Amino acid sequence: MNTNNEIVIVGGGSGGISVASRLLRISPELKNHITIIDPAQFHYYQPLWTLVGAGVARKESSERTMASVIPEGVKWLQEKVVRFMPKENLVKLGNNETIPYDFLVVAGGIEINWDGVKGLKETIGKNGVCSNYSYEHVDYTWQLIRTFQGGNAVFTHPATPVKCGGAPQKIMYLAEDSFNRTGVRDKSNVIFGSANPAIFDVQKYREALEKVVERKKIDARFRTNLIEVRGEEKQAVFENLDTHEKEVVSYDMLHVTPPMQSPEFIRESPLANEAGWVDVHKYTLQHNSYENVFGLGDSSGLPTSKTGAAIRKQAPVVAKNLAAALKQQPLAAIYNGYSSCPLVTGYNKLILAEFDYDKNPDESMPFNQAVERRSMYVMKKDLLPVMYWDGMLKGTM
Amino acid sequence: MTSSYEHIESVDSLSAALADPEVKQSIANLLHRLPELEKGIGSLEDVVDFGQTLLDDQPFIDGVESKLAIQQLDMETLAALLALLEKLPSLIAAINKVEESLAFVTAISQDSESLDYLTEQANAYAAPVMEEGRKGLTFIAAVKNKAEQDHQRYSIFSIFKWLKDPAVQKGFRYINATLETLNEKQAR
Repeated sequence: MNTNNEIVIVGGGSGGISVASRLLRISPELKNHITIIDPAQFHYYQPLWTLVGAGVARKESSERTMASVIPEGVKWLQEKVVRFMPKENLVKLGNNETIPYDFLVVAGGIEINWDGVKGLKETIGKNGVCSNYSYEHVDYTWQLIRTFQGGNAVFTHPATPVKCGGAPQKIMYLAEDSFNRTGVRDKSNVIFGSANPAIFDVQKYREALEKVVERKKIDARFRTNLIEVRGEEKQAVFENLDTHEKEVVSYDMLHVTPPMQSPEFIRESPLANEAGWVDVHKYTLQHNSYENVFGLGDSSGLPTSKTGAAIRKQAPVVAKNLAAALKQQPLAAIYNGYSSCPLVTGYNKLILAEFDYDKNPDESMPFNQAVERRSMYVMKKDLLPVMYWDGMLKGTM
Repeated sequence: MTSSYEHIESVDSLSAALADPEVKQSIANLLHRLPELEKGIGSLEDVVDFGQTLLDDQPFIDGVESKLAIQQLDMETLAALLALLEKLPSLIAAINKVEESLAFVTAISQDSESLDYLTEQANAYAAPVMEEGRKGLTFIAAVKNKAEQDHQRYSIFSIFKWLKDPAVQKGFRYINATLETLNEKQAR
């Protein structure tokens, strides 16, 4: 292998760090030849925020400094990327510096568009409006749930791709469970306003979740999209995606899953597909136009759910195929679209959904994972964070 | 004729080469370094002599041979080697798994934040159990304390009095129900 090859990884999230660690495990000679570019000061284990919003985890446990998660032997450039120049093998940084590369990995994540819902930005964190998709405001979710006195508790799912598609409903199930415990459930309406056509994409888990929704007496409204929040009036405006009719729903608590999009520096770049995501091959994760570019994670245009579990399976594929490309060997590693969603359905209950590109279950456990289980809840709450920090980010899991 | 012509030609080319200043300089350098080169050649001769002596030393050669001899090298060993080679890919895969597991365990052991998290979670599960245990211990301590301070003499009438206690009556009801259920089962 030519050890003069320089590898640049754009993004120091789950995908970028995992790939860097795995590359070093596969090819130790790449030490000091890998650079991660990310302007962030902190790295977050965001799956924990569901439990933080439900009052059973501390948000501080989800935060570590970026410096502490950068693998040894990897250089970190704390800058933002503003432009890709794949024909010249260069990336341009916010400080106008250009960084050359021989191989590029794009793991730029997904961007929350707080402006995508009228009035949301102005009222998030007050007026009964919360979101688990913000480290800053996740505490407010728990404050609203534990002090809820009854009325309309509204939960939303937007009409865009989101990171962890199960999270919008997980917090709803936990809130409903909490309302039961605090004795206000009888005075409450739990409403789920979702732009999706059903509660879940994969039939096996959809059937199980439909029973959960029925048992919990949740008012699930599909193909309806939150377009405006009127904080002062405590009103949420939804639009029916088929009829375009608008409906105003009064709320006493509103949990918003904001619309999300590909980051601008990616969607406006030559690396993006028509939808703005990095245009990679769905099996090899190599860029469809530039052979020395690979992509993974939320910023990639892969037709599967954007989850941390998906990245856990994508990272080894990128690392192996990039190592093969360095040696001018064929790309042998294949990603089958695996994604997973630990659907918390209450305190101590969880359905572990795992599936592939074809929406077929791709389960790891020897039992029926469509059943709500305490064991899986314990795994999510107590074991997965440690597996993330010490396994996935270290390139061993 | 041809031979003397070739001789003259080679003398000419030698003269031409010697006339070259660079060649002249090289010859001068070589002459200057001759004593040093002679010493080097002498050292080389010593090494060769030493090697020759070792090769002539039959007891030493026999000793080395016996140390290097592979006594068990037969067809069975070769077949095993080939079988091992065939299994190497799966063995490497297994070793990689073990290596990854070890790396994971090592990473946890060196990660104080993860260790704190795991301890915190374990404590959350242990706390109710510990609380129950503490309640049980308090109960036992209270009973023990009362028993030690009680110097009263108990008679058969005291036992009759206990029989009226609701807790004892409840216990009897369970014993009675158990016996009835057992009898019904046996009757079937």
